[in-house]
Amino acid sequence: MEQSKTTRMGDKLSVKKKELQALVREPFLLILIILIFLSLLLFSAYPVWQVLKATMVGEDGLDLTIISEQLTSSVFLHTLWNSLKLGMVAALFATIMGFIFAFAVTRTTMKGKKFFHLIALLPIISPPFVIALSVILLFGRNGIISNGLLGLENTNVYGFTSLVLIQILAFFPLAYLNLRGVLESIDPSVEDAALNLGASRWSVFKSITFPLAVPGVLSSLLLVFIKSIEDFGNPMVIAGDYKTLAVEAYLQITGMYDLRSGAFIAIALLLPALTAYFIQKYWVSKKSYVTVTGKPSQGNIKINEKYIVYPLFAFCLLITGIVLLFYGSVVWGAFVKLWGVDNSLTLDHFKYIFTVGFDSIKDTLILALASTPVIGILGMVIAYLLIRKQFIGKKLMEFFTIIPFAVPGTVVGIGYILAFNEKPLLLTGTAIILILAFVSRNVTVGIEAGTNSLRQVDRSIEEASTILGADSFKTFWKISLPLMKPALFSGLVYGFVKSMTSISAIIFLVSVSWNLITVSILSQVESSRMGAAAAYCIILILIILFVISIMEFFVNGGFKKRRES
Amino acid sequence: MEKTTITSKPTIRTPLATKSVSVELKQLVKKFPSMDGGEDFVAVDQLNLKIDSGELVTLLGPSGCGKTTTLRMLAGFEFPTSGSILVGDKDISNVAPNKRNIGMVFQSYALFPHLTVFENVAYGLNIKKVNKKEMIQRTNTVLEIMHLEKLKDRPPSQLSGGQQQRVALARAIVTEPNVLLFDEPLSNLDAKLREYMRDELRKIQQRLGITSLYVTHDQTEAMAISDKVVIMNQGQLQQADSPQNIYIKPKNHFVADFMGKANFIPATIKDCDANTIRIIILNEEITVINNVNFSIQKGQIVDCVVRPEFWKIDNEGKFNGIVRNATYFGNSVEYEIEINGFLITVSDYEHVKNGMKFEGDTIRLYLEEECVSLLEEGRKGV
Repeated sequence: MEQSKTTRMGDKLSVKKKELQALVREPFLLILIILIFLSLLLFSAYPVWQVLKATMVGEDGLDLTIISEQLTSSVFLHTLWNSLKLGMVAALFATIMGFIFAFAVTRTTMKGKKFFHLIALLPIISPPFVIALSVILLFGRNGIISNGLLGLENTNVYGFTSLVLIQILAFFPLAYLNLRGVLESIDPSVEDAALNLGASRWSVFKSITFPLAVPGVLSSLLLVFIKSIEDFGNPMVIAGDYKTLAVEAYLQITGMYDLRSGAFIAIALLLPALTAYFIQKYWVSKKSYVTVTGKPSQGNIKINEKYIVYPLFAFCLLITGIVLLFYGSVVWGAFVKLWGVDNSLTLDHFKYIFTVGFDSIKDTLILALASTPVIGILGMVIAYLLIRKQFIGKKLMEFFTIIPFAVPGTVVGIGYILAFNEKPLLLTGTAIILILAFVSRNVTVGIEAGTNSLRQVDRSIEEASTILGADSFKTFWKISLPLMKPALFSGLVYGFVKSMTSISAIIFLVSVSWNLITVSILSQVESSRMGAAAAYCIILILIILFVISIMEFFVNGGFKKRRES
Repeated sequence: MEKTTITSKPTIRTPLATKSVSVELKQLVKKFPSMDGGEDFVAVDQLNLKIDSGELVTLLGPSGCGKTTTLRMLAGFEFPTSGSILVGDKDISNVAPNKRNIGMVFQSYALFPHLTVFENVAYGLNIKKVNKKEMIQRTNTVLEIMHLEKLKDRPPSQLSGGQQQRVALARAIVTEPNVLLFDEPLSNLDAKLREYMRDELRKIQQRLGITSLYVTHDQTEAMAISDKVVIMNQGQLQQADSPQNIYIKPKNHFVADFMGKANFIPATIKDCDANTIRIIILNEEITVINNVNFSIQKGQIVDCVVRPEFWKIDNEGKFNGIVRNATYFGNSVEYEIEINGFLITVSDYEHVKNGMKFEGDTIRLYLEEECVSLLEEGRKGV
């Protein structure tokens, strides 16, 4: 018995040894893996560790006073509850809205589906607080609805109600996209079978469609919850006295110069966000009923009963109407001299941002364009390593790559200033730190897209390349990467959009020499220069749309002759 | 459409310069660590196998028998736990897969979907940095052999299954590999095309004289294409022999059962000499060839393996039976016949001459005694 056990151990060891030998045979691959490991360790894990350390270690060693102080502070507890409440309410309503939207688009014969879909994407590609800005424009003291239409004076839009409404509108597209994917992948023949057995539309929904979509609903709830509590831009602009963790952490650090309290608040934000993330990733997604068969599913009989379609249509119309109203008011705001007071048209705001404010546009563009290719390629390389290569510590690498994504931006931002404030890693104030933050925070989506698309690529396609004499690098470059093109594209787009629009992490990292648009917009809003803020938003959205279409051109076809598949 | 492009005989203008070598697997073992920390799964167990140069050997067995693992170890995609793989006289068990100079045709063809037919076939030459002129010439030669010239600018998605199959073969042979591996290459084709491509593969393999290892779970395919068939079960070699011997002289119940329908009938040894054995089977005495691989003695009970078509309906036959069931297949009729209370299966390929028999009919049967082989008594159809 003992004997067989030892030989078995020996076999296992020799398998491991052989795997290692295979890697040593490709020394460059080994070096690459080590490099990626080190950078993940340094730029993903280490900063978060620094934040944890800051809450527990003071200048004279272990010091838990901050924790006990905060935990007994009613202000802190109140703020924590505020964030959680906000997250739960926003998650609930955004998911309901997202579900109705997704159901209407995937299951009915409703008209204008494409239009609704495009409008729903708008909040995703725009900077996080455009909606907050437009709420001020519409319902603020000089708002065209509150003051202009209703003649109300001194309305107060700041507070919980506005914040939660804004977040619902800003984050329902996430729920929509998620649930749309889920609803689309439910085998329609299951629903057809229920209809065939005599079930009514309502009982099909109640007993088949909804139960099958429950994992998607849960994951939407969790995702929106995370987004909501992490949100920095909207609460910063509109929350008023309603304190949330992300904003408080920032104010503690930049207003009170209390890094340790800020770090603690950030950790308080980290725990629920991380919990929700891991529940979503490892529990809810496992519950999924979605079976990928690879067979194109037959189009089922779409719902065309008027009494179902019309209310859904009206609902979608209402929501898109509100979204358009909000974005429209921002566009309008950019061309109006002084909102609500002097409504004459002007280009002054654009002149202003192209002269005084041009640096932040330039800086943002340079940094985003520098980060995006790195995000795209690195994402694909890591995806390839994770899916196709065997090496020790693969699970750890996977874990490292999701840290900066699952961890709230506020925590990452604080972690970066803590980690890279001293030599030899003195990076604060440089462009490098911003690029590093962009890359490490946004590479996860590319990796996810890359791993998903690689899983669908028959492994033997790469084996065919190997047996024809190509090493791992050639196989990656000539075979895997071209096959991952759609994933590369979404990695690039996501990386670029997030680099252009994010604020929660980088607001800690901007400096005099490197300032970013989102931070500029925020300071314009804070000094009540709504016109300039609106003009910035518009320029930002235009840049994003422009660059996405250029990327589309280069990645999908363009110069290369397009091959139909 | 498929037919018109492939019925003309392939001609080779510039033969490929493949160097034929032998392959030898010695004491090959592959264990996979189990997920739950229990016993390791032994996928290949002490496998010894020699493939002579230019020979096509088939690994045949049910799924999970270790045939694909063996093939993948030869390709270099799996590392043997122990044992060695010799190509020519060189041990390659530690050589990286991209340095082995082995060609492979994959079950899914594994064509590069983003490259044209020409680019697919030329890929290996480009990787080996063959100069451009030679690359174009060699690629074109192989495309011609495979009748793919007209399709060379198409992406794989615009090809039929049979065409994709030929591109996969072209890509595998263009680099003039020492050994060619086939991983169930025909399993994605429909029945008719499968037979056609099977013969085509065999012709090209013989023409090139390339040493080949072929994996399949289809015994007809294995018999039709191979010089030698190797039956595997649970990681172990069961029998390695010519297709005829595998079919008629199976070495054990597993091989007999796996290669097609077989009657396992108990019999008693009556007498034996160096060349023949006399046995009592179903109360009749017959003489069979003595080629048993186990010791026998008088009075011992053994299992006789009789394929259904080795029974003939014959009025002069020794055996007297009653038809219990008849199934018409077109090219044959299959009967279940009771002889002395024992139920056997009989295939009649001469049913037109013999006439259809029905349930309850009594018939006489003749047994082709030279086609009967003996096995040690044991479990039937393992």
